[in-house]
Amino acid sequence: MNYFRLVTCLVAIAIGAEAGARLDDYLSNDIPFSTTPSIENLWLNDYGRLHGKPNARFKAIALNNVGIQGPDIDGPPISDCPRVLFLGSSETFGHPNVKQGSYPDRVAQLLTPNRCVQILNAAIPGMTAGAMIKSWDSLSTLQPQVVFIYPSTLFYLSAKDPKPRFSPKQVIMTSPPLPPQPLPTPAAAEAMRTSLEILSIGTLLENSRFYDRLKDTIELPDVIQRQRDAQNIARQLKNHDASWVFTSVPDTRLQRVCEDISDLIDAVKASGAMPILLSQAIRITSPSRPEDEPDLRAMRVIVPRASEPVLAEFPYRANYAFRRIAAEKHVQFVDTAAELSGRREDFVDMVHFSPEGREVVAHLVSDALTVALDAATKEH
Amino acid sequence: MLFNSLIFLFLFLPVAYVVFWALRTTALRHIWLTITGYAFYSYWDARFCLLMAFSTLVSYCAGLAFLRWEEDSKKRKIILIVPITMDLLLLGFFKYAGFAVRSVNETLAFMHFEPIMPVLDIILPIGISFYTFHTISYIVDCYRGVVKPTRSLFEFSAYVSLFSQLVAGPIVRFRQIEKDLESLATADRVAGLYEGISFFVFGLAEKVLVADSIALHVDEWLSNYEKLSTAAAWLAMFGYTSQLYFDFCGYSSMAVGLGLMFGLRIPQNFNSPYRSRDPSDFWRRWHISLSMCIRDYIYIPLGGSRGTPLFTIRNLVITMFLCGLWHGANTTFIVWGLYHGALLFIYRITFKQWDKIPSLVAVPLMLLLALLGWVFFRATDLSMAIHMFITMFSPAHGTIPDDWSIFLVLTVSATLLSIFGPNVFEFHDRRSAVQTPGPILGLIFGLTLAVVAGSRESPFLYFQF
Repeated sequence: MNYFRLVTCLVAIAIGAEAGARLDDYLSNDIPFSTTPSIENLWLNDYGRLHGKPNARFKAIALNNVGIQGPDIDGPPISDCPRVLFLGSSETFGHPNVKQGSYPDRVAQLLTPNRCVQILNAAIPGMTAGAMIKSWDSLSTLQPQVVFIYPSTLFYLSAKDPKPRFSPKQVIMTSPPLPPQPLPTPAAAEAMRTSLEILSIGTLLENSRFYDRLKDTIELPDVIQRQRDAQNIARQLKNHDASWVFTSVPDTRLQRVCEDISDLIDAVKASGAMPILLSQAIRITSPSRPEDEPDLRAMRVIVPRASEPVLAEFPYRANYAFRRIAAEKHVQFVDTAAELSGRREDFVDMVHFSPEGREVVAHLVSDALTVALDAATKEH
Repeated sequence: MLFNSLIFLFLFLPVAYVVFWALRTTALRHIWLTITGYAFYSYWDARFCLLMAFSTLVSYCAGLAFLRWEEDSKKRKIILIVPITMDLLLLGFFKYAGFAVRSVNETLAFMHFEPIMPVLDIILPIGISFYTFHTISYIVDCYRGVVKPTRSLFEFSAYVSLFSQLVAGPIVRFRQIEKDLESLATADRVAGLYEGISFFVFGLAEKVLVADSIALHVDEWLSNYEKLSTAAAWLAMFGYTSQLYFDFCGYSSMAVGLGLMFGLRIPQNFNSPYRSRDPSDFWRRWHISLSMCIRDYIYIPLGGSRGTPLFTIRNLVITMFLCGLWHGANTTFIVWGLYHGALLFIYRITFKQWDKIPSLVAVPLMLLLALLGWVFFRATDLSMAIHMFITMFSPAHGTIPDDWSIFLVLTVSATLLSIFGPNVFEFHDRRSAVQTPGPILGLIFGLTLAVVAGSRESPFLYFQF
């Protein structure tokens, strides 16, 4: 066997794969050939308030001139073309690999042929309702007419106790915002490395777009994934005793999510916009079924403090409370959970929608939006 | 499991290959090919493995029966008719029953009667059209004495279930790989490997880099076909013309390559069909294995062109009707088949004049005629096909989508490549000294791998048949 030829072929495959990945990214998503994009490039941490970087790009995600997804904002909304804003977490943000793959994008596709409406998506993965309140002061300057709130409740079961409740009034009392602190950029991080580090396999893989694609595509067999998840969870529970784990739904956390949602609705209303609250739909049922076990296990890796039964029950309890809050505050409530929860085909994991699920959510939202806009027009 | 998927490229194929060549006898290799074929098929739907096994067993037993009653012509006729009927009944049920019921109900509704047939929702087993053709061709060839029936069940099942051509062809007749199957123990691994990899990589590139790139635009444009302008409709159909060719040709090249890797010489299925000068030439270059089969098993037994023009047209109509029907249970495929039947007949009666047309005119003309046929092929129903024709041939005030420029570049490049580009088999012509260097193959493979790793799975268009 000609080993030199074999090695040359393997090197050619590696070069072709990396070049192909970069070329495909450039042709599909206008990502420059030579950069190594990171999702962190999309946001700025403005002293605790996370907001998007204007015109930032990551894979198929492109932010507009004010750092959110949607068309560029030139000024105040036009009278016959209401602005609609979506707040949420990764379920609303969409998958970075899918161009215009979020349900707000689909809502825009459904509505814009028949009426003028400007759909903006200010969701950020990992964003809780509490964090949305902090960002509301800047988002409210966009003067949306309608604001959809899709809460991601499981973050409230995180290991650390939630930060003190953020009052929207605090925003008005502070001095003008300080210059934002940018997150470390790949270029800055690169400069800190030694030349040897740059050439290491780890660094090459980290910067490889082809490797990035493989990670997104390859699913480990369930047997191996189960082992990895179990090890991960055990590692996170190592320094805690059994009482640290939530074995029943923690009322304090449930209360906190309700308070944050309530505060967010008040903040949106105070700015003159119409909030519409959605319930959180999840793939699993409560009590869970045997086929829900992999999803619960995967979620436990992210939220190790909650036991699987609590992970299953918490969103359902929260949704029940959201319905009550919406009724008390006379806010339209879209029960996405009633339509989707438990339907495995509508999700790709415990919380994120499949294309089928996205379609259902988009139709529910566009119907609710049509009702809201027609009512607003009548009122006017 | 698709050829252009990571699980096939890095799990199924390496395991199948290593184990195959580790086994030393022909019989063991037949068994292994059968196992890999069924494993490959079961990835789609394991239930239908039983159907394929049944069809295989019936045809194998028919072959044995032909050996048993070699001189008894009456019994041989029965042995010919019964298994073919069983195969056709199975194919008819799974593929055409729903269509037949729909057609009856639609006809009744048209005549203002209530539909009387219950709506049938039958899952179409993938590749049934192909492996049924394989078994039927085997039975007919055994009857005609063209092929000596095999006594080895695993040799025959390896032929039927060979994963490289199981779900989308080429349609390989038993006689075409009989010698290779019998001499698997002495097959040359090294000679087949490089050639096989070359065919496979080029086929993969045709499918992933060319066909799938065009498909993104074609599918989106034609999903809103009512809104297209005249220019957009033409561009969409030119795009589809290239997409279909590179998709199918790419798959066939991969099938040939896989066969070579396992010591089997599967025949070529395409020979630059868009360089054809006339309809007859087109069918000698497009889906060659199918056109040879329908010629040998339908057209010639019907009488071919040995008779009056009316007799010939009857045979052409029946043959191309069945060809269209084979492609799918939809009126559009039947119309497509009849359209090509009409073209073949027109050429038959005007060939003297047609052959005088300079190639500079004849080739684009035949490309245009093929494109018009693809309108029926691509349309989901007749109303879409009619709408497309109206849009294409009368000024339509529709829209042209924003991505028209990139789509135009892709389509023009692909069309030129399909006409002027070389066929993969031309790289391996024994008379030619040109062989693609390994690193170049590696580079091409890497490029396709990047797209495979990053995209959703895109099935081959001919899987639906």
